[in-house]
Amino acid sequence: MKRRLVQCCLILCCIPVYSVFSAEIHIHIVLENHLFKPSKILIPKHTKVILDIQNNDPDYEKFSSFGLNREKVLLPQRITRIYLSPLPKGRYVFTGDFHPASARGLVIVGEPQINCLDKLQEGNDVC
Amino acid sequence: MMFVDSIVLMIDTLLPLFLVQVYFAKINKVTVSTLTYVLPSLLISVSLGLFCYPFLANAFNGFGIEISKILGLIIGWGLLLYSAKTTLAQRYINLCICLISITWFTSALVELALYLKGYWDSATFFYTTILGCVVGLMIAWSVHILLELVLVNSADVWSRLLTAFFCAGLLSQSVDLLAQINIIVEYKNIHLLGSPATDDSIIGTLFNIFWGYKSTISGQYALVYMIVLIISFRFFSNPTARTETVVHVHRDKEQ
Repeated sequence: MKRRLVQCCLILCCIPVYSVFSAEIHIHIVLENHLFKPSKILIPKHTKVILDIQNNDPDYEKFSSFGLNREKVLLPQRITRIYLSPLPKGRYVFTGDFHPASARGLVIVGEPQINCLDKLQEGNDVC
Repeated sequence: MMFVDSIVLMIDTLLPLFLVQVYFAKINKVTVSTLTYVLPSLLISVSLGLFCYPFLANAFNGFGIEISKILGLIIGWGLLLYSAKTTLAQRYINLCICLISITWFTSALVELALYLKGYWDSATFFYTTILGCVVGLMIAWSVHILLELVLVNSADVWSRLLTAFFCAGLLSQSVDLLAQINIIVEYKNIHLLGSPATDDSIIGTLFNIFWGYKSTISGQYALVYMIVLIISFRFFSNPTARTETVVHVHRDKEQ
């Protein structure tokens, strides 16, 4: 039993190695008056993404997306970071759970385009 | 839409809390007094959780909530396994179930409180949300009563198996949380049922709570799920110290 547990632990310890080798892009989103700006984001497929969401509202908000498999409470007047694992092509809706009628957005994952990646590396939020 | 969202949220938050009490009672063959001990201690933990939430959210580079959730899942699971293997559950029934419930569900209950507070402040759709919450609560309560009735008349192996599936589903969430804090990278390439039970539907939510079902999963998720399932089932299946003690007592009486 102990031997098996040690084997399982070794396997689990190897998993983090993936994260070291993957490329990533950085996107900044602002939440103001319960609206995500920008509300549409285009990202290349199979690329790791860092979302920095700045909540300028005085209320709590919850970033939630079943497609992206992420849920995180956004504290008022704070920047919250969310890491997105590499995704296949598709459209992924995200919402602010506490104000879902207004706080809505879309992540569009498409083919990697050189122009698009260049724009992102130059500091543009969206391409 | 608010109505359905509230139902799903209530089921997602409260049903696991009710289920863990049913499973704990069945595995350890004890009776749990929900109203006198479990609910008050959960209310205290949620109040403390609401107070600590902003500090925790800022801790560890903004990932304090995720880290505390992972630790809570592991500690609660360890306690459940330990109590199933020893006589701890018989001696400290309420203490055990309270600790398990608090470690597993405090953050979910705090987020539910924040959700309701958000609607209270905005005053839009508040009554629709409250109605959805009541319906969600009724569904969660009915499902757990139904499960309790089913398990009363079934063999012990079903309780053990369902509890092992429940633990596997719960603990596999730690993979998503580890991805969320950039410790691992998930590649979601294993497609399960898909459209018949989407993750945001009521059926999908029930499947997720009972068996940890998701429409698309990663290899790491499947790996952790299988490991937790096997370990839990082995722990629940082996003769416990409690049953061994009972056997010894019977032998002594016979002699």
